[in-house]
Amino acid sequence: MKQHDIEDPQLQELARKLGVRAAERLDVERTTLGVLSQLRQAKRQRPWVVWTQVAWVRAAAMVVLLVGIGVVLQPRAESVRTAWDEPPAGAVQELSADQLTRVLDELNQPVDVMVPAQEDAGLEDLSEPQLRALLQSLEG
Amino acid sequence: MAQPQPVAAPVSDAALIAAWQGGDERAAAELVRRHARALARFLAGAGALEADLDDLVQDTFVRAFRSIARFRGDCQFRTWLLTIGGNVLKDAGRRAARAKVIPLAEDVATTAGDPHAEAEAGEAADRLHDELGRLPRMQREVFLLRAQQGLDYREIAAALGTTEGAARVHYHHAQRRLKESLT
Repeated sequence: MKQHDIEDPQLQELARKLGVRAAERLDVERTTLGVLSQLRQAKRQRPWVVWTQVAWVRAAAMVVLLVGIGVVLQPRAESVRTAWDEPPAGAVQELSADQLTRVLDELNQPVDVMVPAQEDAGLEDLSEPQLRALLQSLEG
Repeated sequence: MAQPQPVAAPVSDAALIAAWQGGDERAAAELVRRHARALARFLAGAGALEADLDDLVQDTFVRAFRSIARFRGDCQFRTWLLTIGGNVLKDAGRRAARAKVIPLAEDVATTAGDPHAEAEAGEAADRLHDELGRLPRMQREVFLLRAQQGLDYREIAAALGTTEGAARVHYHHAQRRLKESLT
């Protein structure tokens, strides 16, 4: 016999008596009626509870569906809006001559700005051969 | 202890469970009559107040009948019922603690509520009762299932979802602590 199997007779006897008086005072018939009453009540409530649960599940599914549709459609709506606001490069072909000129003028603007920067270069920055070549060109 | 006799000829618990699942209320009533006192003894031993016993027994049966589909027959119906009773008692203890009622374990010594009954109870039994309330839940339940309900370790292990060896160890620890409290 293992050590764990050794049981104390006095302890066993005391344990067997635990709760005996309280259990004997229990009115079993009243307990039985109470249990049956609760089971009947639960049975009556069950269809309503099930209906409520189904309704909640449907509402939750609808919300999830709507959110999902929103998430899927939002990037597409963004791209449509962007396309509307900024026509693609291919649309340049559809511009009128005046519009095209204005666009080209705007594109040329930075180039014009750069020119004064080149003119600002002083004569002292030129080397001697460059100066000579410049004078020759001015004298014609 | 005299158990109430079944109304009909001896019908197995399994047959009554099947009948209840088929909607027969009398089968449920018979199961309550068969096992209510054993359940009450177990709950009282585990620290339930006598004033709460009826409610706890009812709650245990209702919970058991609602989840009867989960009873796989690994152990006896009574053993399964006792483990559900342990859960019901634990939940009641939590509710009592939240309601700032005196904790269950500290109130065990005054369970009877009847001064004469209290006087009749032996000092050793009172000490055992007190010490049981201080044991870890697993040790307490294994001890009660073994020493009070007379179940074997295989049955206890199946009901509590543990191994026979672990059940023996829990019993051994419980017994050692309880013996110390009695000496």
